[in-house]
Amino acid sequence: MVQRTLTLDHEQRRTRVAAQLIAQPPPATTPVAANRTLHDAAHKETLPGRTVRAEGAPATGDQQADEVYDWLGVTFDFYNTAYGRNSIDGGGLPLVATVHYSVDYDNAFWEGSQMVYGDGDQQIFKTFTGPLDVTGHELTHGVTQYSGGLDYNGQSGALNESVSDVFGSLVKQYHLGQTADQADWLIGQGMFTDAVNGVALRSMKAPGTAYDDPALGKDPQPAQMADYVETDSDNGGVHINSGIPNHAFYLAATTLGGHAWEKAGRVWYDTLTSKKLPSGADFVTFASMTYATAGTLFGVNSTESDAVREAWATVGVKVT
Amino acid sequence: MAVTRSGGFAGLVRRAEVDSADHPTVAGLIGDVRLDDVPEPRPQPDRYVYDIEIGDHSAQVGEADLHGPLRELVDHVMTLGG
Repeated sequence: MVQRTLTLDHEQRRTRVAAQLIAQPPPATTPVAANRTLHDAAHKETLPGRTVRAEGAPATGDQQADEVYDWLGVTFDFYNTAYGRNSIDGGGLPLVATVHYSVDYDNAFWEGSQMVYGDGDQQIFKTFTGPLDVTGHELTHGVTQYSGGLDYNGQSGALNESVSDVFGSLVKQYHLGQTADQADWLIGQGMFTDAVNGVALRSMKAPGTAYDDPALGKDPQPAQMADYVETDSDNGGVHINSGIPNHAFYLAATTLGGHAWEKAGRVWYDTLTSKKLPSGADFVTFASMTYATAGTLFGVNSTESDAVREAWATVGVKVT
Repeated sequence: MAVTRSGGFAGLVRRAEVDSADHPTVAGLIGDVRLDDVPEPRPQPDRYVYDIEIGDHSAQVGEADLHGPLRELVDHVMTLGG
């Protein structure tokens, strides 16, 4: 009896292995998959906090932790599918995130090795975990970091911010299956409470129009180099002047049409990850490199490289 | 004294002003703070930047460097005067 069972098992195993070989030929390379871990800071500021969900584990029931788990997965999938990038560092970096950071914290940030999300104060901000583009924006700070970085002040800092907005918006467009003309090109849509007069934090389509509120003031983003804001706050206005390169990307993407991550996004991604982009790049340097990248990808006098040059020219940045 | 917070993902600017003569707690905390000793800001993506003015003295401090009495002072002023 014992012998018979062993024999049967052996046969079953052989059959099963044979079936697997037919159904699933071994992949040429190891398949890549997100490796996510969610933590809860329980309103303290110690990172990473208590582990609440590991990769593959069922939903926690905590809406914020589960939203972030999903958005980390979508962002991972976007970078992998669109650009063949395995996670933030290109080498399968585990994705770690902490929710419920601090008290009434109106922010989310990339800490250098993990994501951190506040709950929002519920007066101005109702959520930082709800909109996918927030997670896309923050993880892209990690991509920029692992690509050699863009110094976080002045024009290079505004480029760092803009690149995060660009890919934050592209992750959302990818998730929704939108073409450039269907996208809202907004950053942070759905974050404000109903008390705030505004649709989002930033608009790549029309910088300076995202909000106009008695308490918050008016969206200060320029769309033109002529309106570049010189300031000492916010590391030289990195969240203000990002409007200029944001609008250049919008113009290139809508001129080219289709899925924005395929052409304009590919040009920006290849420029960011070329290892040739100086960390102190100014707008002209970055613009010129996107133009060169478009030429390499699509041809020197191609529709694509012309669109990139024209987009920068329209915002007052002349490629060299 | 005044605190101006800029940066963060939202990039919104918030300013709070308090007269320490009206607030003994603030005056006490100011006594514990050494603005000249705060480290040079290390810019980090989407972290807050605080411009702190106490009388004629001022300093810019990154969120990650805001500890101890200075953190207490900034939190207190932002709550009172924000």
